Amino acid sequence: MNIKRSILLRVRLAFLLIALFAGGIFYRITQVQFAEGEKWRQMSENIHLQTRPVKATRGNIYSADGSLLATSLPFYRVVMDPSIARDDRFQAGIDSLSRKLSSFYKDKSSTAYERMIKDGRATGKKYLILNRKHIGYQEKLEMETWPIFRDGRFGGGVIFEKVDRRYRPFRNLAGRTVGFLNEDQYGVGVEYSFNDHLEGKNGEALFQKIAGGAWKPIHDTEDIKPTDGFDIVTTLDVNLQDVAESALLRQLMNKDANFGCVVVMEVATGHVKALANLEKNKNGSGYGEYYNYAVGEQGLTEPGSTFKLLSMMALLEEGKITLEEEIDTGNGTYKFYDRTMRDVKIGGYGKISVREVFEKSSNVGVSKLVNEHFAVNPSKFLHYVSKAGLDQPLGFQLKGEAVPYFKKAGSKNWYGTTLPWMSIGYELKVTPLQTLTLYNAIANNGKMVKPMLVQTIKMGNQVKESFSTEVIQKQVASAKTIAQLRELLEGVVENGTAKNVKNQNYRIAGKTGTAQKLINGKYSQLYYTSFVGYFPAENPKYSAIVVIDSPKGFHAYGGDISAPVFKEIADKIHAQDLSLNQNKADPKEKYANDFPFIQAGLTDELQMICNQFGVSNHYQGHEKWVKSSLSNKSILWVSNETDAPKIPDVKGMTLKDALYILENKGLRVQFRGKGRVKSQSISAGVPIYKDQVIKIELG
Amino acid sequence: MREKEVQNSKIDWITVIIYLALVTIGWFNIYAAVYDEQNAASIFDFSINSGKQLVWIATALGLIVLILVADYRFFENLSFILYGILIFFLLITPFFGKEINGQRAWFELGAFRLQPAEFAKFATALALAKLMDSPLFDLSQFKFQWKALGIIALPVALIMLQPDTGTAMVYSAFFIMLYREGLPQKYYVIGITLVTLSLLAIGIEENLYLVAGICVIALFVIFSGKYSWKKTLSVLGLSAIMVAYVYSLDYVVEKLPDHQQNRIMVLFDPDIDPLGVGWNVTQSKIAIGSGGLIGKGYLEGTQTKFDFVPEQHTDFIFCTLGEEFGWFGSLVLVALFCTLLLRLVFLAERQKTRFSRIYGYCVISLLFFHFAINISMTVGLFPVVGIPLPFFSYGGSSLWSFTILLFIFVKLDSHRNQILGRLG
Repeated sequence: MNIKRSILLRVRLAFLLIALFAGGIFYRITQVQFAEGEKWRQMSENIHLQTRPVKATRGNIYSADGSLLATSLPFYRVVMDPSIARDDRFQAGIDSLSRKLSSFYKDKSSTAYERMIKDGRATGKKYLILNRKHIGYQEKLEMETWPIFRDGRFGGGVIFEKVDRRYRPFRNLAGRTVGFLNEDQYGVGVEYSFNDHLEGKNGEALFQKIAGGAWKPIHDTEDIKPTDGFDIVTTLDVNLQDVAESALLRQLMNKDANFGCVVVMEVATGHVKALANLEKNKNGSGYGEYYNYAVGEQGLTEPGSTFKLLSMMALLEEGKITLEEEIDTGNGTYKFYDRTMRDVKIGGYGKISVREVFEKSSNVGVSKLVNEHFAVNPSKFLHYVSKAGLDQPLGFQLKGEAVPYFKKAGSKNWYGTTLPWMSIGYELKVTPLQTLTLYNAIANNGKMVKPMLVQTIKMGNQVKESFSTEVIQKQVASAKTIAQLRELLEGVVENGTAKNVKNQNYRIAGKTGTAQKLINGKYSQLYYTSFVGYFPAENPKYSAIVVIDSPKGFHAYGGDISAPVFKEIADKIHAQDLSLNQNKADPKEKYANDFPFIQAGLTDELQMICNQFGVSNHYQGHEKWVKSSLSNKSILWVSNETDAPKIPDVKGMTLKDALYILENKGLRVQFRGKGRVKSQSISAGVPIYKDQVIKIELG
Repeated sequence: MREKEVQNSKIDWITVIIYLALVTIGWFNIYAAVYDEQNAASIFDFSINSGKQLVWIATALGLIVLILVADYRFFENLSFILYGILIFFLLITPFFGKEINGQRAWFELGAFRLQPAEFAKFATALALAKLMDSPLFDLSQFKFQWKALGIIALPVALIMLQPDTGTAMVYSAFFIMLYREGLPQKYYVIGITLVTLSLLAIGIEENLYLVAGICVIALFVIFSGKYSWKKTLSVLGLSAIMVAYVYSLDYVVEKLPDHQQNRIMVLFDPDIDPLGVGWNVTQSKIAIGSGGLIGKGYLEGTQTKFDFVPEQHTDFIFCTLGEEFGWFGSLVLVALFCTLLLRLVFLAERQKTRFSRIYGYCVISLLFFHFAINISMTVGLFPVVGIPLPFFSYGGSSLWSFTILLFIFVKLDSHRNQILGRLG
């Protein structure tokens, strides 16, 4: 074969190869599109037609008094089938409908809406999402009066798709306890722990996939109806919760503390009436609920002196001591092996009685006594810990409860110094809720009940499951010991470290605690302060614990920091609870929930006034200017933004504040009248231009 | 003389028009692939791929102008230097490249990412053309064969380091050009036999059937025609090698990474795992299959809206077209590519220097390979390998490199008469 012919052949082969391949591909495409077309179209439809879950309505969460703590509110997404409306109705209404949509959503011009709907109609769209934003029920009612929309789903083609959103009427009140559950099934609090009951059972319906990745429901009689979730009734009392939260917040702010928590419990039943956790916001200003310190792992800590109650219980149960017996606490220091135990008072307390040891919270005294009687057999001491149920989690109804930490006698990390330090609440870790449970048992004459947060699970009025008080330990100690312990706890308030909470109306019994915080393995100058106790001392009805972590300033002891909060809460509860003071109704209390005439102004000033007058008030944000709104029985400050270059809302402000704000904006102000601003001539939100004159009327 | 030169430098407008048509249709398709009805962004929106592609197209047009105004001798003279530069870049990519999906194939320059392996294609084509330009170069001789193979093998080896099997595979396209230039046919016979044997070995579960087939053919060859000892021995030897190959192949396939193994297996049985390994191809076929005769209409596709077909704007862009424009749309696209390729064969054959002809065939080989493999892959004729559809797929590097590749040839073609003059 000569070269020329060979080349020619090869070129032809190349031609042929290309043509062949192209033909092959083309044959294959034809095959896929026609011969197999039906199969692929079927598959496409199968993919596009899906049985998808229809969300069940989630159950509500209630407080003990029947207030709603969390509920699901219906919101709607507005969708339109633009092909449905009759031509004359469509033409007559489209103009004004587009204008209304545009002014409602404020995201597109009315011509854009008009074009979108008309295009959809022209191309035969069956499902046009007008806006992805959710609207509320009231807004839906309003929309239903709009042209075209008013002809309904089958006349006008409007579809309001229901989307449930979780809503908390009391906002952040008990936020961490009520909890949340996000889409990844991660959550906390009741929402998370009782999700199985709350969530209900999703139904099923057939949906069709439409361009753009949305799913359009196809009505089908074979849908499985969703079963709604159960309601949860908690033991929380919104009033007590509110009292606890505001008292805690105030003290945290005063002392610039890191975090704090309060638990209020009903002595006889173990019902948790309030459970507040507040923590400094990440940006350093204000406080919010981020973690359940009372229950969770991060709340697990060395309790300090509040644990001395257990030491006393052990000593008294053993019958080794009497309250009047004297003990030498020396000069306030005592050496156990290589470690020195110190008392707070410089120079020490000298020779004092056991009763005084507890009242003054002498570390040397308690540790000497415990070491003396239990060093030979430390397991015996631990036996009392176990008997009081402190070494086990409580089995609280919220998920994520921390496991307490106690060393084992004879284990590798058990030193000669462990027992003395343990006796004053170090080298062990418990949660505030556990400490409270022990004190509650003392208040309850030795019967230790399990704290509970959820009392019933119900649907409407039908109770599905009801929880009753569980007894952990029928008698944590003998009646005699209990009586002596209660005497000691009353003594702490009468003569000891918590004298400052003593008052004429009723008696408080309790114990202060101040633990040095262990930071990087060293005890620091930061304290973990607490006060735990019950009231009224003679016939206890409520027990409570107040914890405040790392308060700043000179007085950083439990008696100075946490005890006043306890008293404030106890005062309010005592005043409000009729059963506690049937015969001495104080006329002042009648006005406890009336608010002074404050409407708007500078945040700091308003908060100061309210705090001075003891008016419950809350604020989550950190804007400079706020206005008041009522939330339950307290004031909720809401931001009154004045920074934007728009006319601010000065209604309800004093003339001083109003002038300050308006003139700073470059406005000229003319005013008339006295008192607070009643009206302003240019309404809030309107853009400002230079040298504008605004008239305000006071009255 | 001067007048004649101007007259002679004629650009082949047919090629240019097909190029522009492909790029434009590609751009509209990229928009369709990212289009979301409820959140419709303009096709010019730079935050979505169609907007970005527009930038790539605009810059590609700029490149065309640069190529067309440059001196036509430039490309020939700089062939080896360009090749050297690209080899250098390929050499450093595995170390300095940005890692994406386990490959270090990209260089990041501010907001832009470039893939040296794409540009190495035209550099290799230029170098091959330059090497084989000499009249003494004879592909029937062993030493020349090795030289040509060396030029191809070097970038392939470096790209395998990234590792990017798909792009490396593209270089086998040069064998089409080598065939045209006279590489002995025996290599192709061996190659095709091996490929067929491999396909059969993987496709047919039981190797014994295949062995039996080989034996039957061997006996047939031995006893047909004139019988001789020599023939018998060589046929038996070859058969033994083939049988050994069949058995060793199983072992080789097992050694392949799982994903590559699966991609091959899916070819033979698409229903093996339609929602797993076969997902891409199944989805792509659903898209194309549901298009029907005239398709669902522009922007009306439901299957190809970024959530069903993965890699849709790059390697699987063809199924957008198949779904929205149906059989007719596919016909137009295949016809456009065929016309372009055949036109290029025609152009290559009319070249008057070996250099431009060989370069032309390199262009044809590369375009053909990409086109054939990419579309075969979307319709389930070929395993899934990540190579783009020329001028059509989203992506700057591939658009730029194909544009440069094609327009250097257009430039060379427009000067073919001058080149002759120079030689003459």
